[in-house]
Amino acid sequence: MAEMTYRQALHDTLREELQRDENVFLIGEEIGRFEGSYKITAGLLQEFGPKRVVDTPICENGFVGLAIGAAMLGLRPIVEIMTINFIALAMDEIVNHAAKIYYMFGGQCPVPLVIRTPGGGGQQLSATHSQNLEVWFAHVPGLKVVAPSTPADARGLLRTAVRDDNPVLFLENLALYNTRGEVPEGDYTIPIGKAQVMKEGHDLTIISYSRMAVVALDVARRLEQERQLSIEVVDVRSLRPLDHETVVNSVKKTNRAIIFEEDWRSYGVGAELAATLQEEAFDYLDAPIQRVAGAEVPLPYSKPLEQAALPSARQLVEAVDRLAIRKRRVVYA
Amino acid sequence: MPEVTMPRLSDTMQEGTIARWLKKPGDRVERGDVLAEIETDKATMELQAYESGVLEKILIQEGESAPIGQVIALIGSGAAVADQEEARAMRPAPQTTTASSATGGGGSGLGMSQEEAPRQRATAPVEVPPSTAPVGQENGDRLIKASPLARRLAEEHNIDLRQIRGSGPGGRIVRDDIEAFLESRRTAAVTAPAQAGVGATPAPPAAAPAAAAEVGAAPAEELVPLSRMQTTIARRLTESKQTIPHFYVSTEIDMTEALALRRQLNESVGEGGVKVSINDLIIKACALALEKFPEVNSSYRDGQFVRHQAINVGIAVDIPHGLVVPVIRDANLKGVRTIAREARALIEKAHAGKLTPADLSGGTFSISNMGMLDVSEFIAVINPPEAAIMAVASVRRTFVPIDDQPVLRDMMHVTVSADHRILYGATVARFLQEVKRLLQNPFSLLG
Amino acid sequence: METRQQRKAAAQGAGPGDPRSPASLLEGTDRETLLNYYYQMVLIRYFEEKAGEMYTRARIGGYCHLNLGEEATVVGFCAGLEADDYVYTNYREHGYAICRGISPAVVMAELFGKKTGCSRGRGGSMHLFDLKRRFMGGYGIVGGQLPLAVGAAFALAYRGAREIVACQMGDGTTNGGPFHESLNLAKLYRLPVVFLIVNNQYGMGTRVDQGSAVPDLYRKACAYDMRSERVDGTDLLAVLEAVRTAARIAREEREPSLIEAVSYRFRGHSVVDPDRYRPEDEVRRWRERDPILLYATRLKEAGLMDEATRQELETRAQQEVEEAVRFAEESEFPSVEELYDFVYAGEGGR
Repeated sequence: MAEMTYRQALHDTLREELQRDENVFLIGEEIGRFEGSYKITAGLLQEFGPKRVVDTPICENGFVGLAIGAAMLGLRPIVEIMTINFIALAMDEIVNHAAKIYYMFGGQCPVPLVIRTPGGGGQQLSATHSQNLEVWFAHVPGLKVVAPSTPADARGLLRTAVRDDNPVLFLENLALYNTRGEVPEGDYTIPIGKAQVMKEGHDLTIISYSRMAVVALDVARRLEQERQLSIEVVDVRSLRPLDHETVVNSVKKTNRAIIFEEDWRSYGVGAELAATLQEEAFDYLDAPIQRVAGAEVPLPYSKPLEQAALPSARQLVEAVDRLAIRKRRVVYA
Repeated sequence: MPEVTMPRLSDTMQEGTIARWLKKPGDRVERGDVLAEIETDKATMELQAYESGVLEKILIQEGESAPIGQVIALIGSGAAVADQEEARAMRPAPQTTTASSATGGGGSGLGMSQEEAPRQRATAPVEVPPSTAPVGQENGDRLIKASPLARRLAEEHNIDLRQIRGSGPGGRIVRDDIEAFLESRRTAAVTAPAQAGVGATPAPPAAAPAAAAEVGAAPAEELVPLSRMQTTIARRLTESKQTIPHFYVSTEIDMTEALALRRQLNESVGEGGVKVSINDLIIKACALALEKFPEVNSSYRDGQFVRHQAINVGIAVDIPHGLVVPVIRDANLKGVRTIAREARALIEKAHAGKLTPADLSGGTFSISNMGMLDVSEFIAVINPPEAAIMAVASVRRTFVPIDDQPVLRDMMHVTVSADHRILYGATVARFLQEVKRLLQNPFSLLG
Repeated sequence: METRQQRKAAAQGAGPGDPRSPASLLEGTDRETLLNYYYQMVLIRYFEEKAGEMYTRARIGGYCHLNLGEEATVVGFCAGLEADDYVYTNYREHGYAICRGISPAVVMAELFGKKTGCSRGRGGSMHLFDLKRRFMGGYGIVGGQLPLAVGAAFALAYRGAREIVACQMGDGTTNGGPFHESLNLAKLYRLPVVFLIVNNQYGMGTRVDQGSAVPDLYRKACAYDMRSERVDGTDLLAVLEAVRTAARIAREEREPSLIEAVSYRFRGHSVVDPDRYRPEDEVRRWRERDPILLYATRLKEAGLMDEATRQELETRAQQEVEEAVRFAEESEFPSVEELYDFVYAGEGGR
C-alpha cells in the first residue's frame, strides 16, 4: 500500500501500461509537450517519445476516429479528451463507429480503445466546461463506461480498461485529481462492471459514482456518528455494464435507496438505477427511491449560482431526512 | 362557500367512510339531493345536501374516512371544479346502482351488542348487498399507501394493511409500521383469549379474534381483518368487560307450558300470519318483568342512575361476520303477535343489511338466545349502556322431580349478566323469578 | 517532391471531358489481367442490377446504394492496390467488396441479411466487411470512415509495416469536418493513406457545385499541402494508374494522396430514389459514356477481346450473380438466439 493522489495513480498506470505493451500508445491534445492539461501525462513524452505519446491538433472527431482505426488494426490507444465537454465533437466516431464496429461487422474486428476524460463542475468553468456527459455513452451498447472515485479504483480500472478488447470510456473528475488514497502495490486490476460497497450499513443505501461517491461516503460516516444511522454506500464504479447484483442486494438489505450523482437528474444514472431497483427489488422497497442530482441548468459561472446548481452533501442529508428513518433497525438474519 | 361535513349518523360513530359519491364535482346540487352514501360502523347512510349550488370539490374520496365534522366537500357556484375532475378521472367510475334503501335517520343512538338470537338463522340466509354491508374498515377500499416492502411483509405475515395506520410520509405504511404491528400482536396474543372465552360471543368463525387465531400457530395461521363493525364490537365489548363489574344470576325455567301455548297460538294463525317464537315469548316476559323491576331497565352514566321510561328490548341477531342488536320498542306494551311480527321484520332487515340507526338505537335491555345451537348454558357480556342482558340457552327435555317423581319437562337455562354498579344480586334474582313466573304461566303474557 | 508538384499541375487540367490517356498501361499488363478487369466491371454491373431487382422483390431491406455507372472507378481503384492493403469505403461499396475478393455470393447473402453474409447479417448493404481480405468496412455515416482509415494508416506506420490504406468516399464527404480533420492528420503524421473521392457529381440530390465552394474537389488537398489529382472515373486504366501511383508514394514515401475520380451514377442515390433532380439529357450523355462500353472498345481496338470472349465473360458474370442469389436465398438467417452476440469482444461475444 502506498498513499498517492488520483492523478498520480493515473499517471503511474499509464506509464506502466506503456512499458508493458508496445501496442499501447497515448494520444490527445496537449498530452506531450504541454504534459497534459491536467498533468496526468507529465513526463511521459520524454520517457516514451513521440511515437508512444502523440500530441494531436484540436480535432476530437479526427483523432478519436484515428484511435479507433488504429485499434482496428490491433493497437491499444489510450485517448485523452481534455474534458468530457469536448467529447461532443467526437460523438460520431465513438457512437457510430467504436461502439458498432465489432457488432455491425459480425464480430470480426474488436476495438480495444480507452478514452480517458475528466468531467464535473465546481471550478467555475461555466456551462460548456463543467458537464457530466457520461450517460450519453453509458446508454450505448458496445461501449463500456467506468468512473472510479478513488486512486485505487482509478488504477485498477484503468489497467483493466487498457487490457479490455472493447472501447471503454474512462471517466475522471476534475475535483478528484488531487484526492489521496491508499493504492495497493502490484499489478492488480478491478473488473469492469463490478460495484463496490464502500461502507456497509443497514438503514439506507446511497448509490453513487465518481466524485459524488466520495461525498456520499463522507456524509454516511458523519450521519453514523451524529445520528447513529447505518448507511451503506455503494460506488457502482462502472456505469456500463452496471452491476445490478450488488446494488440490488444492498437495497434488499436496507430497503431504502438514494442515488447521488453530479449529473442532471433527467434520464440519468439515477433514473437507470431507480428503474433497475424497482424492477429487481420492488418488494424490498420501503420508501420511494430518492435521486439527488444536479440542477437542470447549464452550469453558471458565478460562484453562488454554481454552488446552488451542484448537488451537495446538504442535499444528500435532506434526502436522508425525506426517507424519514426513525430508528435504528434490527437486521433479521 | 358552504361546506359539507361528515355527519354524525350514530351515537357510536366516530368517523365515517364515504361509500360512494352520488354527485361529482361540477354537478348541480339541490337542497335535499342525496350527495353521498356514508358508511358508519353500523350501516350505510345517505347524506343529503343542505345547500343548493354546484358541488365544487370533493375532499374525501370514496373509500376514505373522515371524523365527524370534517369537511368532506364544498358546494359553491361552480368555479373551481377542474382539478377535481382530473383527480377523479384516475378513480374507478362510481357504481351506478341506486341509493340504498337506508335513509338518513339523523343521529339517534345505536345500541351495540355482541349477542344474537341464533334461532333466527333458521330463516333463509340472506346475502348482504355489498353497498350496505358493514364493510367499514380502518382504511376502507381506497388505495392504501404502503411501501412495496410493507406490502410484501404484510402478505407474508397475513396482515391486512387496512388494520394499520401508516407513519411514513403522507401516511404511507412502511416497514416500521408492520414491525410495530407484529410486535403489538405478539403482546396482544397473550391477553386475548380471556375475551374470547367468557365473552360468550357465539360469533361465526370469521369473527374469531385474529389475535387468538395467531397464538403460537406460526405457519398455519390465517389472519382475517376485522370489519368496521367487528372493530366496533371488539372495542365496545372490551370496554364493557373492563369497565362494567359484571355479576351473573342463573336459573332454570320450565318452558313446557310456554311451548304448549306457542303451539296453540301458531295452530290458530292464519295464512300469511306470523308465527310466534319462543324468543318472542321471552321478550314479552322480560318486558313485563322490567315493568316490575325498573332498576334493571336502567343505565349507569357518569355516577348516576338513568331510569328509562320506555322498555325497549334488544334481540341479538347474527349476520355474516358479526352481529347486530335491533330493538323492539315498548315491548311491554305490545302483544306477543306484534312482537313476533316486528322481530321477524328486524331480523330480515338485519340480514339484508338494511337496519337503520333507528332500528338499532335505544335499547334498554337485551336478550341473547342461543337456544337453536344446543347450548346448555352460557353467559353474555352486557351491551352498554344497558345494565343487564339475559343469555338464553337451549330448551331441553329433562326429568325433573315433581312431587318426588321424575317428570319429563322442557327446561331452559337462563343467565342474567348485570352491572353491579347499579344492580345487586337480590334485585336481579327477583327480576329473574318474575321472568320465570311469567314464562311458566304463559297465559299471563297474553294479557 | 518535384514529381508531386508535376502531378499536381497535371491534375489541374484533368476533368470528365478530358480523360488522361493511360495507353502506356496497356503495355506490360497481360491480357488475362486486362480481361479480368473487364470481367469485374461486368460482374459489378450484373450484381448491382440484380441487387436492385432483389430489393424490389423485398429480399433486401434498408438502404441499397448501387455502383452502376461507377464500375471503372471501382475496379481501377481496387486494381491499383496490393492484395494486403487495407480498404475503407462508404456505403456505396458492393463493387469494392467484390473487387477486393469477397465473393458475390457472400456479399449478396449479407444484403439478404443471412448468416453467411460477410458481416454475418449484422451489417447489411452499407456495412460489408472482411478482415481477412482487409476490406475494413463500408460505413454509413458520411465521412465516418476517414478518421478510421487514417488510424489504420497510423497503426501501419506505427509498426513500420509495408501495407497502405486506401479510403474511398463520395463527393459530399469533402464538405464535412471529418474530411478536413483526416487530411490534416494524415499529412501531419505522414501516414500511408490514399484518399479517393468518387465524384459522381451529386450528393444525393445536391450537385457538387451546390455543396462545395470549391467544385474542383481534388484542389481541397492543397489546404494540407497534400498531393492530389483528378482523373476520369469512367476510364478504368486512368483510375488504376492514379491509385497505383498514389499507393506507391504512400508505401515508399509515407505521403498521403487525394484522388478525385469524376464519375456518374446511372441511377438514383439509392434503389428507392426516383432520380428526378438530374436533367434527362445529362443522364443520357453520361450513359453513353458507359465505362464498360468504353473499356470494351479499347480492348477490342487493341485486339485483346473479341466478341466471343466478351460474350463468354458476360455469361460467366451473369452466372456468378445468379449463383450469388441462389446462395443468398438458400442461406439461413441468423438465429434470434445470437442477437446479443458480438456486442462486446472477448466475453463470449456478449
